[in-house]
Amino acid sequence: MIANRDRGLAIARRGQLIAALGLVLLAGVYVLAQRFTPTEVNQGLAQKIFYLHVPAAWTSLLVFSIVGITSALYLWLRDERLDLFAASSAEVGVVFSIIMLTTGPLWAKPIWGTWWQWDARLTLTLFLFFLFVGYLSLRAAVPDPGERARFSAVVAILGFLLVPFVHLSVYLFRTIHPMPVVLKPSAPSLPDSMLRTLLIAFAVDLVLYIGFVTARYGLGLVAHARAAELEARPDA
Amino acid sequence: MPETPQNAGYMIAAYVVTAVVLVGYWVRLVVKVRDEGREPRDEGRK
Amino acid sequence: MVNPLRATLALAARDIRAELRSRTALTSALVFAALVLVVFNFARDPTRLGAADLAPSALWITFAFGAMTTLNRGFAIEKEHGALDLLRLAPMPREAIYGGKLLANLAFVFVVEAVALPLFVLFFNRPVWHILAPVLLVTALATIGFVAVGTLLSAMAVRTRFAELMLPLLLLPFMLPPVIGGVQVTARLFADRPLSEVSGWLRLLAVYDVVFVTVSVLIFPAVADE
Repeated sequence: MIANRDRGLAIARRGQLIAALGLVLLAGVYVLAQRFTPTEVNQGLAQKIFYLHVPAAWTSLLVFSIVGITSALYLWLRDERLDLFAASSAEVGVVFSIIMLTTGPLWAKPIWGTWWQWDARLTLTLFLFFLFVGYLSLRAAVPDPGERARFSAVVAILGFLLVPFVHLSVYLFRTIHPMPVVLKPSAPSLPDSMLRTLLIAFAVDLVLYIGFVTARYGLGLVAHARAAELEARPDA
Repeated sequence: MPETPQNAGYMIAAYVVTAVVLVGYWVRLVVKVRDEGREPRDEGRK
Repeated sequence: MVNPLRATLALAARDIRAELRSRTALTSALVFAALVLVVFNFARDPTRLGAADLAPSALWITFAFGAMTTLNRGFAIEKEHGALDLLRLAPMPREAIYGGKLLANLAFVFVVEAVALPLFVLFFNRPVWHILAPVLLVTALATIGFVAVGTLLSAMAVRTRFAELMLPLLLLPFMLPPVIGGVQVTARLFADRPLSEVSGWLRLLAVYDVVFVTVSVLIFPAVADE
């Protein structure tokens, strides 16, 4: 028993509010990217997809790591809240990887001339998405809550360990993805105005993640409370 | 001076998709919270 | 508590004996492998695509799907007979249950591959004698990796709804590095490239095996415990 219903609802409503704030801020990012950030000369307006795609990709990777780490902690501490948090994060992670996987090809088509390339980072993101989907499908297919938590934690940890191997193997294969422009040893090779827009967009994605995950977590608590209530009433 | 390509359509598509996905997920959560919020009070207890 | 190593071997031997009696998994996997190889040959347009271009992919698709068919049976048999719960009650370390399953699965998959490889040589007319040792090495390295993960995942998949669907869905991402590695190395070997050109791949596959066998052994108790 980890929660009562009212507390879960209160948490869910708070998350909903934070996410609403995130959506308003996202509108701000749109204005910032369109009005106050210069258009890149060689790529044209399509370059502005970058301010949505890259933050979504960072957020997906971050969320994926969070799911992996929380799952490892769950197997160690066996606290139901960690399992619920990992599950909520995975669902929100799917949302961000969908954005990453749709905006990516929309940028690649005009710039590379093709929707998709089997390049290292593209393949990696596709596999992140597969792993998220596999994780959530597994959760949906295991009826017993304890077993569900343990099984999905195992899959999340394995997936977390798989990521470097997918990256390396496709890297050995070939790569044409743009090289890192922000997180690299020398100074970022991006004009200040573009970098600022990018970082603000990433911060807004984080606000959205926190809001969504809080709402989803609260809903999870409500579901837990309902299951416990059903168990306590043998007549139901 | 290279000519800047005209590809605003792709950008608009990406901005619309992102907004639809994020707002759509938010609405889904809001609806769920609303449904959970009123369910047992009305008919749950007999 | 029994000696874990001896328990592992005993469990593997038990599975292999059971399979030798019924031969269901091996037969279906072998027929499947032969079928894939045949279909590949007919699907190829010989005027446009040389056998050499398609051969490595055909070989590894055969290996991958043959292995998947085999893995799907591993824990399903236990479940049918209700033996899994008995195994859990037995006074032996959980790791031994995993180890036994892993060894048995590896034996089955290696048998499937050992039959598929000569068929492949026959159908695709690709002599492998001069590169047999490296081909066997890369096959073993790649197979150990995904069978290790597959054995662990099948132990979970069998306890879910839609077990036959769940294993491929979960295992597919984990097959990518071993199968890409296998295809790349085999393609270079068939093209008579020097072994040094593929040492990066072989090292990657070896690290993959070490990481996933170790993690699977350590994490299996979390799957088996109540």
